[in-house]
Amino acid sequence: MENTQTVTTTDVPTGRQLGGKYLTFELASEEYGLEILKVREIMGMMPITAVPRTPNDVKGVINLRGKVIPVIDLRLKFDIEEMEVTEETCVIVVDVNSLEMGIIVDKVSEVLDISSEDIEDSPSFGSSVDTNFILGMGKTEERVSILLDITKVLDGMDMDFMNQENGKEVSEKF
Amino acid sequence: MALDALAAAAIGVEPDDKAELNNIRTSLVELKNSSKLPDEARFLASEAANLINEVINGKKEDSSETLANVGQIISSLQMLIDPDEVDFSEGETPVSGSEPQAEESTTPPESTEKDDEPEEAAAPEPDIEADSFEDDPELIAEFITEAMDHLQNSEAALLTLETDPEDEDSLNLVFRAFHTIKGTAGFLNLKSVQTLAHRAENLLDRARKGELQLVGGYADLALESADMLKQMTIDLEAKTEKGPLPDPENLDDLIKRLENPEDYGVSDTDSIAAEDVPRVGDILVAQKTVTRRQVEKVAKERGEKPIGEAIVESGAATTTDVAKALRVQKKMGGGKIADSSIRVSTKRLDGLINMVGELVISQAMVEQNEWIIAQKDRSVAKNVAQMGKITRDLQDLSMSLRMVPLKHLFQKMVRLVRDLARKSGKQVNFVTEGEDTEIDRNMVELLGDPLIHMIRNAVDHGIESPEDRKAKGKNPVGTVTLRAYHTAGNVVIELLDDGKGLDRDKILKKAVENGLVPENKELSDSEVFKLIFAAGLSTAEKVTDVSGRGVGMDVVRKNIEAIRGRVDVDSQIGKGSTFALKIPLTLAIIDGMLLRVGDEKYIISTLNVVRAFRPEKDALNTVTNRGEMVMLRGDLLPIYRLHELFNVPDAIEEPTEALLLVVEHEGQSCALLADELLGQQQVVIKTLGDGIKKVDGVSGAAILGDGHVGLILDVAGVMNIAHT
Repeated sequence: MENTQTVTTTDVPTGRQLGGKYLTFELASEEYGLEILKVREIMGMMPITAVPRTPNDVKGVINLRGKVIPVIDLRLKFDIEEMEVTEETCVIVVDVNSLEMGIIVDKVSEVLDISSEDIEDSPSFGSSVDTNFILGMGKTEERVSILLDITKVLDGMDMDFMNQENGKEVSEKF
Repeated sequence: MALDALAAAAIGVEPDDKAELNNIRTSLVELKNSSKLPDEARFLASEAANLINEVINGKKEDSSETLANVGQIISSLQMLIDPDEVDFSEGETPVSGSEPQAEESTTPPESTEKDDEPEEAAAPEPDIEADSFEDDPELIAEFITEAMDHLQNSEAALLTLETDPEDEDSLNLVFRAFHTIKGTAGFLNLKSVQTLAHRAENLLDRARKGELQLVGGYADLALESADMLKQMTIDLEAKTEKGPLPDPENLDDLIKRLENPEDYGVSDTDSIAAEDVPRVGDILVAQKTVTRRQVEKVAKERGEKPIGEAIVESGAATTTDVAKALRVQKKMGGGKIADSSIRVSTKRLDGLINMVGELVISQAMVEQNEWIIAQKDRSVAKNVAQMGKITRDLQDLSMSLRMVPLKHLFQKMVRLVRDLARKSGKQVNFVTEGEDTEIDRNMVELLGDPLIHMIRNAVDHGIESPEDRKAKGKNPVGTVTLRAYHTAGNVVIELLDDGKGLDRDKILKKAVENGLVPENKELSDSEVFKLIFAAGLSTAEKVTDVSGRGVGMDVVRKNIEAIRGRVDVDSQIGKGSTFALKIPLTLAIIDGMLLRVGDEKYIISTLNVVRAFRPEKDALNTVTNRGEMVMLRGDLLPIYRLHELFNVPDAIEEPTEALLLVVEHEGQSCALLADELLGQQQVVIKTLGDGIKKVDGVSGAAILGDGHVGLILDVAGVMNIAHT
């Protein structure tokens, strides 16, 4: 592959411009990264009102300055065992196609500037691990962050109840 | 400068913007010198140019007032140089009498004493048409809202005119409405709208001149025009693709009738009344510019000319004096302009209300903060209290922003009653009370249908025919009263009629026939009256054009329940009926009961709750050891455990130690098991957040006093879950 300076935005899979700022957080001692542009704010753990008859990983809803938004436990989403809430447990409010949603993570680490060259394609684990929601693997000094495509995380898989269109319908109705 | 651009410039110009003023003056002078234009237009243009001159030279103290006058003159000019004339003569309505001159005959100029709107002498000016804004969606949208407002206002005014044909304010209001629509439609190149508005305006102009009174046939004609315009506006709103708007079917016919109402047998019964608005001549006399004798002389000799022009020509007064008098007349006739207001998108408004709600909660948190309470410094307490007061005021204010008076809705009903009474040959006096009662804007829209159904019923079934009423010794004119008032967070809308009342036995008989109630069951009056809300029950002997199909009251109940209201009926046979709608002030807030189940808090609308009680052991029964029932005053109700339905841990399992809440929805009742009742409070309804779609048993969320989110239970949903 030639190392040219031309940037082609249409060249999606490998050459796409994934470089940029990522918010990294910990989940079961693995480091994950979220595109900073998708992050609205970070809050400490707050009381969550459980909503009955919703999937297990939907912890409930919180009051974000007068707005009620759903909160997802990322551990449960990734089938990791639930953990006691600690001082470091955080809710990251993300903006997914203008839907606000909170995700619970073990701990928020830092904001990293990762250049495109330092991002590798997600490795394939065969059918045993779904890597669809991984943008790529970000390498920084001796660490590797799993860069998440949060839209896919919250949209795909078995979460069809969080279908974006349905969400919009509800919001328009009220 | 094109005339439209000129008008826009005149409206937008600042009194100290000399360059722009100069531009406007130049254009006006050009107009004045243009030989293509009729004399009147040139007269107005020169008048406007003079005024601008005075502003530029700083001669006028109130320059913005003067500029407003200039704007008015220019809009008169726009009317005068009306592109509509051209279209019309090209034969859009191919009638024998539709030569360009037809215009003149519609509004005979002989009595044009009040000549402030001299559009009847319009002349073709094809250039204006080139300026088309028809494809600008924003302008169109603005036109639609504006036109709808105007039409609604004019409808109300037309109805006022029918009872009081002398009411100049209303007449002027209607005239202005049509006039504005015409102007804007011309601007947007909506030719048929413009033509129709123009014709209607001519009719009204005749009314203004006292040639006719807007009663009887004329009123029908004017109302019909308003309806047609409304229809066209709605069509315009619904129109998606570009291109001209298709005309409604009856447009041509209506325009023909408007053009020459008498040829189509339209008339009023009353004689022509004297004018109330001062004439130009009178004003000039009052201003001591001319003498009464001069005016009278001119009036005799002027022939076809407008009086103002004739006076100027006779040399009795200058053009400026006449123009001034015209303006004075306009002001006196024009009445007052509505409250100044701005349009704000509801989204922004909701955002504001949300934020204020948050502020209230944050303020409460600060106020109740232990550290703050413990402070010895009295100024802290004082400031916190002050902040609390401001916050509450702000909250009241923000809630009131969404409130609109019921006036418009009631006015629509006036029209409805009028039409219904005409159709059914009944005489009805419609009285509205409390139309200033305010209610959430969204509610107003939802109330329309139910009210229409109820009023149809009242007029069609309630009020008897004049003969019947006379035979019964009643006033042949029936009275229907629509009344609104506030009670404790609710609005009550009552519809009273003094008609024949509900026939208890007839309803019961019909209900038994339809299998709604078992035979020989003892029912109270109110239980019987409630039956009329059941689907398919109509006691009308014959189905008429307006009602009697037995769907109406069913719809009323459904709609009212959908906005969390209820309907009560009271009736006395032979004396009349009263329907009372009790509805919440706003859809955004519910009166809720706060329940605790385990550690969770739920809110349930008080409207659904019949009673709450702790059951005795022997009132509880089980069916096959599973289905639980409770006996309450002879009724057996199923018990649904909320903690089981919603998987809440640590809730009280034993009903005798907990609480049973009897809830009702659409005639079905059940008892919900909860731990305790925490209280009653009003909460603002929110969605469960974008992203979570409908959750069974939960209709929304609300932010509680402590800042936590509480879920609002949907009784129908809860019952559904329990059934499955």
